[in-house]
Amino acid sequence: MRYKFIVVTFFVFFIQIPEGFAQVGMMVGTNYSNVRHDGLLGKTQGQMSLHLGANIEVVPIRGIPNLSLRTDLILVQKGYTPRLDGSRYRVNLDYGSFAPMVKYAIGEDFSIHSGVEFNRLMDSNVGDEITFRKNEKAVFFGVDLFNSKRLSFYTRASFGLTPVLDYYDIDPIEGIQGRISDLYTTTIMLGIQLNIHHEKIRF
Amino acid sequence: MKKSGFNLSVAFALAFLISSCDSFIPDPIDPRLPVYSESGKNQAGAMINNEPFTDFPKSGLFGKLYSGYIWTLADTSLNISFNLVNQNKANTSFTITFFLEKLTPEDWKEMEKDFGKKFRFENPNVKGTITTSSNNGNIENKATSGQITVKYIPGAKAFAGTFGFTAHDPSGKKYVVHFGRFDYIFEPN
Repeated sequence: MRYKFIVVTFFVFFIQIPEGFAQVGMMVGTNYSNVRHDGLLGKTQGQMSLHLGANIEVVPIRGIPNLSLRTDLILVQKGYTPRLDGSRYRVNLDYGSFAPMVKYAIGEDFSIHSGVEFNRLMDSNVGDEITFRKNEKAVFFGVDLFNSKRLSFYTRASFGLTPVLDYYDIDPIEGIQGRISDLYTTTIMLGIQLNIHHEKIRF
Repeated sequence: MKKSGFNLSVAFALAFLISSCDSFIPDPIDPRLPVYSESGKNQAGAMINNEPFTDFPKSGLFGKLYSGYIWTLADTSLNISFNLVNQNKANTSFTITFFLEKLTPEDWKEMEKDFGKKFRFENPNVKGTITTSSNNGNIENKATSGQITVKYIPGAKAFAGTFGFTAHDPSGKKYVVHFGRFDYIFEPN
């Protein structure tokens, strides 16, 4: 309910802004992801995958032109790769991500941003319908280069705040002992953004 | 020539359809085993002497095939049987069988609750075997310790559960069965 409220609030906020007052961008890139856990998995490796999305950015306060609010809508594949008996088993978690953030331009070609991801699980190649949580929240920090140009670059590190796995605690002999919630994602994204509206426009 | 090309295409399409419909759903912690489920996915798996063995639906000409078989007798006994195969060693397989006798109405009620009811192999009314096949015939090895937990899911018409046990064959070879799980549709007669 709270999740829906936040999503609706941000949508309403951005819909209120006249079309010409927003900077819109398309983004695509690669990402490296893995999971943090309490020893539930043995050795895991990170994995490379892709993301793509769109974003909208506005400068809400006329007196602070370097400060902007931005929201990304991204399709991103996270996951992890357990290593068992020398073999690798890729576990993919495909999310639709809604990521509002605050962005601050330190210079003309360099800015930093930080925000919260609200991720909705869309698909996975392992597990049952109830194995992974449908929603994940993560906090992220990133930097943008050449943001004032038509093409800009960004990198971002995202750290899951809520566990993604809801599964059974299975003892080797005694079977199910209860339920466990674990696995927190860590994702590093690197990509290119095409700025459709080149200028940053204020209210 | 054209007709034979068409036939070839149809044959390829059929072969693709038949070969692409296996439905193994991996476990999120150990993807070598099937996920533990309680929805009648007709799959099972276990680590036997630290090697993964599985059973899951595979498409055949007459529909999806799996080895699991469950039957009850007068609601006082329950028999669960399936074959587990090591996918990396196609010739290696075991038949796992559980036979629960003298079940009471309370046992059935408990099987529907929470994670199901646990039955220990130390109980003489609970039998578990791991059967090996060879040119000399089948060898049935009884579980001497361990347990099977059975959950009955009336909504899905399925039995699911976990198991783990140790068994010895007559030559003294030990079979250690870990992280066992099963989930089969129950089709009463």
